[in-house]
Amino acid sequence: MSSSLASFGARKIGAALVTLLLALTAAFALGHLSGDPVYNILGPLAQREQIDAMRADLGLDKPIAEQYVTYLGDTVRGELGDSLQYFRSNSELISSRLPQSLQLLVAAIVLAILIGVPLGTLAAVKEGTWWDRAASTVALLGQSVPVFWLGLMLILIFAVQLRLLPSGQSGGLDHLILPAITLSLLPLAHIARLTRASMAEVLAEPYIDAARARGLSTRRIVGLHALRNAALPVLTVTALQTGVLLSGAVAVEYVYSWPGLGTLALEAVQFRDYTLAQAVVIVGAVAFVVLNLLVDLLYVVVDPRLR
Amino acid sequence: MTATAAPQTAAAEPALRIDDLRVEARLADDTLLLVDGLDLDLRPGEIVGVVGESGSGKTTLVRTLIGLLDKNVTVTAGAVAVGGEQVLAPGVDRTEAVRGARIGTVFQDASRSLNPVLKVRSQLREVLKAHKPQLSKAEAAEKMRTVLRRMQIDDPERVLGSYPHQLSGGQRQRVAIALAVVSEPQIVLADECTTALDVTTQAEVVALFRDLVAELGVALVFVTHDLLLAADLCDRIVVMYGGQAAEVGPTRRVLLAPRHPYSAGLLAAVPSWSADGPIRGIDGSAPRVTTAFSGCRFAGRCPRADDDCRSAPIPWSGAAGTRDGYRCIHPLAAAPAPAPAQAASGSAADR
Amino acid sequence: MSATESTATELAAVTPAIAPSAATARRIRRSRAVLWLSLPLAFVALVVIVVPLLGVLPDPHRQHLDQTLLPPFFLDGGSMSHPLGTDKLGRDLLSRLVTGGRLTLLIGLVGTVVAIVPGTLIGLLAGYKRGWVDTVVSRFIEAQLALPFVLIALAIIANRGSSLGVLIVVLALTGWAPCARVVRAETMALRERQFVLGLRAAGASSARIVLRHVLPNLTGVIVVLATLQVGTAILVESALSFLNLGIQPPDISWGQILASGREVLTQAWWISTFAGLAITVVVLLVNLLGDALLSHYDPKKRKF
Repeated sequence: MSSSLASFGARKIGAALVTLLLALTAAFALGHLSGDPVYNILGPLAQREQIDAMRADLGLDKPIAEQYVTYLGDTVRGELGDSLQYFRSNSELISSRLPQSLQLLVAAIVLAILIGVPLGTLAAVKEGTWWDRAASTVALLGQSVPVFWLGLMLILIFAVQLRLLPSGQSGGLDHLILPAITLSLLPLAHIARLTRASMAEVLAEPYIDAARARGLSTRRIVGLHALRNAALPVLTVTALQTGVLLSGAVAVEYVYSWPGLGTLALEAVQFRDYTLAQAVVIVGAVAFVVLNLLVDLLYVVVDPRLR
Repeated sequence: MTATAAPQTAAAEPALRIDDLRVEARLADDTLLLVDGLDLDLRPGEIVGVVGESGSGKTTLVRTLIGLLDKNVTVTAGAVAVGGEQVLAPGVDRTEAVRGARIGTVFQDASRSLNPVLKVRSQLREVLKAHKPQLSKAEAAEKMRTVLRRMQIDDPERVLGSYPHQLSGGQRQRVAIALAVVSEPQIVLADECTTALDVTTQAEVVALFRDLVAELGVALVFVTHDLLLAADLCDRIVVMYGGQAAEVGPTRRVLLAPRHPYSAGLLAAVPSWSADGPIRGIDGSAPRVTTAFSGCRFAGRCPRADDDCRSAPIPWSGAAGTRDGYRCIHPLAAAPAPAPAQAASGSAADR
Repeated sequence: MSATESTATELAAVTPAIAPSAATARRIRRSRAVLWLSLPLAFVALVVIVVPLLGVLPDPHRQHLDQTLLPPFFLDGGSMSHPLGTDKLGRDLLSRLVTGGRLTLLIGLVGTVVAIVPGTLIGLLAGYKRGWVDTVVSRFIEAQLALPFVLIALAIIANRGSSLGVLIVVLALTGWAPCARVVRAETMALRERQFVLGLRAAGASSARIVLRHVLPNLTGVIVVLATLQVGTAILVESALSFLNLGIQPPDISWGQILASGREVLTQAWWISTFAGLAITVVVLLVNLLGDALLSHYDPKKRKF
């Protein structure tokens, strides 16, 4: 049993590594094959010598294959290069902003789960009632509202009109409230929808009927029997949503002037700082792959059939 | 488990009493009669077999008794009493109080009636928490081991620590039965619970049920489409057709001298029973019975049917003071049909 | 969950005639939902295409520096000459929204085509060929999902700058994977169905089976995916434009109008609000339509 567990783990880790390699390659390709970065940085008026000097400096004069190998080697060692704009190492810049982004992401995902799972469960248990319809409306709206617009509207209402909450910048916990709510809406909607679908499926299983026949209360049946079985697909898709969440985080950080990785990346783009932009992309991809790997492994804990 | 109800003393008070039960399903444009005019007495220590094809109303009966009907299905007439207390009548549903506590249910497919992500221990513990909250942790643990041993499980500790998928099919069915009886119900409903098993395991499960009834004095309703299995286990048999009891009586009487043509037809379809004659299935299938249905439900498939059968509801013919009898105006002769010895050997050979 | 299984089976055994008529009624109700959701969308499309041609609205690019940040007509200082007010350069907001809708809807459609066509082909290939092709494609799908659209956009735009072309490339690069994933799974299921097995046994070529027999069976799935992708593409466009990574002035899109309203949010809330409302309403309609189509084609897969 444990050997099959080990091989399951090894397979998952192997797949994650391949995915990561592909994502890193894509990040490299997007940066290098879409035109000469130096030309784009220095503009059309740059002198030939200037361009050559910068290319040599960045190693762009070497063959593309060599650049790729160097890039992979550096990335694996955790060296993400130096920012063209700040004249500091990218990893330093990123680690100075990472805590802010993590704070926001964690707060948003916790909110999304705390509200989305009960909402979806309620909708499934009360299928066809107005609870169900209300939950589905919230979920559909959540998937249709642009997050950054929601952010602006919340600023207008709570910061400008009511003056209840600060409109942005990092600070105390009150500064986190609006950005976290804004960022949580989309994952909340996804989680609620999925929980409902998954829950409705589980509630139709014979073992739920059997549990009822044993005289267990609806609360026990939903809480113990159903939720656990329904959790698996929700978990997976939530992890897959990380990418969407990261995209949303960039917009939300921008709206609230939140000093995280997203605003850092936007600054990088503004100044054509492609090494910094690339470094942020790498960090995002690594975060996604690691998180999904963790969920795959967590599956084994939640579902004993995989053991 | 203490055998509180000794069969003799409790004989006066049936564990389960069903009077003229009627269950209807409302559909968009029709109302279906799923169970109609069903009577049944079940005494402690007694085993009643409910036999019929799919669509005969057996499963609806079971689900009615434990209050697990779909929203559009309701009891519209009659009453059900458990231990003398009324739990079901039109507009009355107190099944929640008896479900799991006084009525245990074993479903058809054990591997699907156990939660795949919970260990056997937590599933058993849950039932005890719901129905025996006064038990201490140690007492509950002891009770779980006892009930599994009673189910002929030799290593209860290992089974308790297992997930359903780690057990064999037979073990899973035993665990499912354990879950139904660990709360010491007076009544156990077994709904086709041997159908998915191989013949050997089937025999073991039947033996288990026999022991349960003998040792604990529970009353068992054994629902099956397998007539031989019912013959082997049950004291009395209810043959159901189209939501009604076609025939009710002691097992021997019903099997050896069926009065209702449908009972006879079921018997003729059993290979080892009709070893002498040809094996005959009953042509056609169960009718769709709406509230507008009149006459004998079996008339469309019955060789003896005439115009009288189709024109008016068929009255119940039964001896006074008992619930035994049949619903037929052209019954078969009361004389025994096949020789008893033959029947017994046939059934034994099949086990 | 209301249909407890065994009673349902029993009912089905007794009442074979019931199910079809009820199902047909449901089907008709769903088709009606599809129609009712398509109408407002068609109306929006008609408005943004036709109205600018009629010349009834002011030029969306025309600046009136003496009429900047005028409020909509229902507020003090507003008038029907600029029903939804003006922006910081005195340009008519209604006219800009109508004109901007053209680019937004166009990007929604083009962004869908560039995602769904390759996504479908790749999904068909992986799902039908299985084996190493499938393994490779699956890794690529995962890798793509690991790169959120904003990051892909960042990586390209940091290098190339932003343009409409880059936006379409971003939509193609990010949209194919979710589509390929679903089509792959559906193709795998279809591949084992009797009629496909029969065709394979009869020696039909793979290309023929996939294009003539498998693909038509996936029409419903693809229509649903495409519909939902329109909403996604509109949201991606507006997000990138909002971050100054998408549509650049003087081109107008809803996202770009929304972005331009951000700087003057406290003085002129209406600019961002109306642009965002336009996006939300259209995306909501598209998502509702997608859901209605989903239950139209496959009632069992309905999520909400």
